Amino acid sequence: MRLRPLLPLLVLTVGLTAGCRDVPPTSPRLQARVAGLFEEAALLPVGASLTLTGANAQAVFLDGGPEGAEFLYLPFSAATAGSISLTVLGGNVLPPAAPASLGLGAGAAGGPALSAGPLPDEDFHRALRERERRELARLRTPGERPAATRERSVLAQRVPAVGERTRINTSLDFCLDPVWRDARVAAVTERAIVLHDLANPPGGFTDAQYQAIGATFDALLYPVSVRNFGEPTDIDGNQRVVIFYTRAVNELTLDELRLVRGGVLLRARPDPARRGAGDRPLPGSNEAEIFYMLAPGAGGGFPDGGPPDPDPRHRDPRVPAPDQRLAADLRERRRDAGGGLAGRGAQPRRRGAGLLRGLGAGAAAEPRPGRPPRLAAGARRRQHLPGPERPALHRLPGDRDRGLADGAGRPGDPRLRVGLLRYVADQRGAPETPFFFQLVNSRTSGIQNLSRVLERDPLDLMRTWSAAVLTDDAVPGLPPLLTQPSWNFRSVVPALRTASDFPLQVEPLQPETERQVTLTAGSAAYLRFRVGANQRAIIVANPDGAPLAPTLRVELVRVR
Amino acid sequence: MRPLLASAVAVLLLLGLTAPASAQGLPRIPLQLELRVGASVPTGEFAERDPGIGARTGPRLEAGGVFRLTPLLGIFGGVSRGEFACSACTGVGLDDRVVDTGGNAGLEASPGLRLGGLAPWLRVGAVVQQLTFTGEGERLVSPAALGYQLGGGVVVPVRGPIRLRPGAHYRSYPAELDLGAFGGRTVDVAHLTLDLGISVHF
Repeated sequence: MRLRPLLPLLVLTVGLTAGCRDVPPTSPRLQARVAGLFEEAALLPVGASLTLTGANAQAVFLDGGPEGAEFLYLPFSAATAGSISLTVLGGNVLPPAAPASLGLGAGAAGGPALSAGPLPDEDFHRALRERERRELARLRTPGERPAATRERSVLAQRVPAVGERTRINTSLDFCLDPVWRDARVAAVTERAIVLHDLANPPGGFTDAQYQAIGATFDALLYPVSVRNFGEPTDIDGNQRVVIFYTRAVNELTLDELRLVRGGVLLRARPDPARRGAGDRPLPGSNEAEIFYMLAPGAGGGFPDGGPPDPDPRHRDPRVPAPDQRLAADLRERRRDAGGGLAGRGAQPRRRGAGLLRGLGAGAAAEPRPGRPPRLAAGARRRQHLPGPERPALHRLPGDRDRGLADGAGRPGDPRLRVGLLRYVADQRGAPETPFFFQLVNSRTSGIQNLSRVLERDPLDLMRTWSAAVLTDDAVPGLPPLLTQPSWNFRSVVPALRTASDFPLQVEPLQPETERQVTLTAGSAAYLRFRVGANQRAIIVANPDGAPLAPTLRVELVRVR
Repeated sequence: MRPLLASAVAVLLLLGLTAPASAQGLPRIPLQLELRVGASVPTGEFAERDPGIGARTGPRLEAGGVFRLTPLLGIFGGVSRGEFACSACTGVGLDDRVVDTGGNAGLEASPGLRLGGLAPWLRVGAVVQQLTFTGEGERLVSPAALGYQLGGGVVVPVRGPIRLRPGAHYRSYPAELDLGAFGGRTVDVAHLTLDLGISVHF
C-alpha cells in the first residue's frame, strides 16, 4: 500500500481544509443588522435627545424598546460658510408610520396663504444694504461729498398738519440724482407722520385708514422698538417717523423676478455723530426718518394692481422707471453666485422656511391672471435639488444656496434671523431687552455679533432651534431647548392655507438605503425613521468610512 | 460546496484504501470512521448579549476519522456543524440562530487504560471554523478562522468493529465579522460540546 503513509496526512488535510468555505458577499442590510448585536443601544424616552459630534456621530445604535420608537435624525452644519456632504445609512430601521412632516401638513382652505404668492426679494434688501454701506463710506471721503442744499421740507423741525404737501425724493441713487414725488400729509400721530404719494392710484387708503396706521405704529411698533433697540435718531427734529406710501416702491418690484419688494428704508447720509463740521445735506436728501411703503392698488405685488407695465410708452411720465442700476447689480450678483435667477425668464427660487415669511407678509397676494402658472411647492422644491437623486433636505434655515450665513458671516435670510433670534431670546433665560439692544447697537454683524452678545457659540443654539421648529408642540417630554416658547407653529400653520406639506422637508430614512445629504452652512436636514419593538437599529454617517466634516453636529430626538 | 467535496473525496479515498486491504487479507489499516451527535453549550463572550450575540445551546453533528499511528496515538480529522440559538438576533432582524461550521484535526491519545471495560481517549487539535448569520434569505459568513479544541471521552465496545464514543469537546476560535460600513467585530466563539459518537474500526 503505497498510499498508506499518506493516510495520516489525508486525515489532517481533510479536517483542516473542510473549514475553508467561500465567504459570500453580504449586503449592507445584513451587515447593519449584525452590527447592531455588538453595541450598546440607546433606549431614549420620548422627547429625549442625543447630540452627536465628532467620532460619536459616525454610528449610533438605538433601541426600539418594548413598543417601538420613532426618531428624528437631524444632521446640522455648524459652519458659517461653505457646505458639507454626508451619507446616512440606517440599519434595521423602518420608515416612519406617520406622515413624514410630523403632522404639519395641509392647512385649511380659505386661510391666508402661507407659501403661495409673491416672495419677498431678500436679495434686493441685501444689495441695498451693501450699496448703502459703500455709498456712505464714499460720502465720508473728503472731496466726494457735493455741497448743496435744497428747500426746507415741511417735515423739518416741525410737525406738519394733515393736508400739507411736500416733496420726497424716492431715488435709490443716494440723494445725488433725486426723483421727487409730491406727497401729502395724510395723518399725524404722536410718533408718526403718514404721507401718501399724490401719484398713487385712486382708491387707496383713506385719511382715516392712514390715521389708524399711525396709531398702530404709536401703540405697537414704536414702544417695542424703543424698548429693545433704543431711541431712534431724529434728524428732522419732529420727534416722529415718516411713513410714506408711494407707488415708487411698487415699481421696484421687477416682474421678471416675481419677488416682491415690500418696502424701502435707506440711510442716505452719514451718522450725525460722524458728520464733519462742513457737511451739509445732499441735494436729494430728505433729511428725515422715512419708511417707504407699498401703495395699495399700484401693482408690484398687490393682487389688485397687476404687474408693472413693462412698456415704457405706457408708463406714467411722472413716475420714474425702477432703479435699473440696482436691478442690474442684482442680476450680476446672481450670475456670480451661480444662482438660478441670472436672467430674464428664470424661475423663482423657493425660499426656505416660509413660516415666518408667511406670518409676516405671506397674505400679500394670490397668483394673478395672465402670469405663468406658479409651480406647486413640491415642483419648485425639486428645481433646486443638487442632483436628480440627491434631494437637498435642508429647508429651514433659508434657501439652499446660502444657508444661514453668507461668506461674510451675515445671517443670510431675514426670516431666519427673526425666528432664530426669537428662539435665542427665549432660551437665554434672561431679560430679552438688553439682548436685542446689544444686538442692534453693535459694530459687528451676523454670527460674530450674535456670538459677542451671547458669549457662546450661537451655532449650538441654531442646531437645537432647527430641531425645535419641528419638535415643539408635537413631541411630549422635550427638554426646553427643543421647544419654541414664543411660537406654537402647529397652532398657526393649520390655520393658514399652505402647500401640501409644511415648508420643512422631512424625509423618511429608508431601511439600509444610503441617503445623500448636502448641508449649506447653518442648515439642517430632517430624517425620520422608526425602530421596531424590541429591535435595535444602527445609524451610520459616511458608511464608506470617509471622515466626517468637523462642523457636523447631529441632533437625534425620539419623537414617538 | 468545498467541505462536502473534500469530505466526499476523503471518504472515497479511505474506502478505497481500506476495502481492498480487508478483502485481500492484508494487514488491516488502523483507521476508524466516526459520526458524533450532541449539543454545544456556548461560553464566554459568545453567550453574552446586550451587547453580544447571546448564543444559546444548540445541536451539533460531526463526522470524521482517526488514523491510528500507534495503538496509543492517532491523528484525527473531521468536519462539524453546530447551530446555536441566538437570543439577540431577532432584536436586530436576524434569524434566531447562528451556525458554526468547519473542520478539525489533531492528535488523539488512548492511554490504554481500562475502567470497567471502558477505554478513555483524549484529543487536542486545531479547528478551522466559520460563523454564519442569516436573515431575510441572506448570509453573513465570517472568514475561516484558526482555533483550538480539547476533548476527551471513553470508548464503549458494542459489537465487532462498532464502538460508542461518548465525549466532550471544548472549542474556541475568533470569528472576525466584516460588517462593511458598520465596521468589523471579532467574536470569541467558544463552546463546550457534549456528544455521543459511533465509530467503525477497520
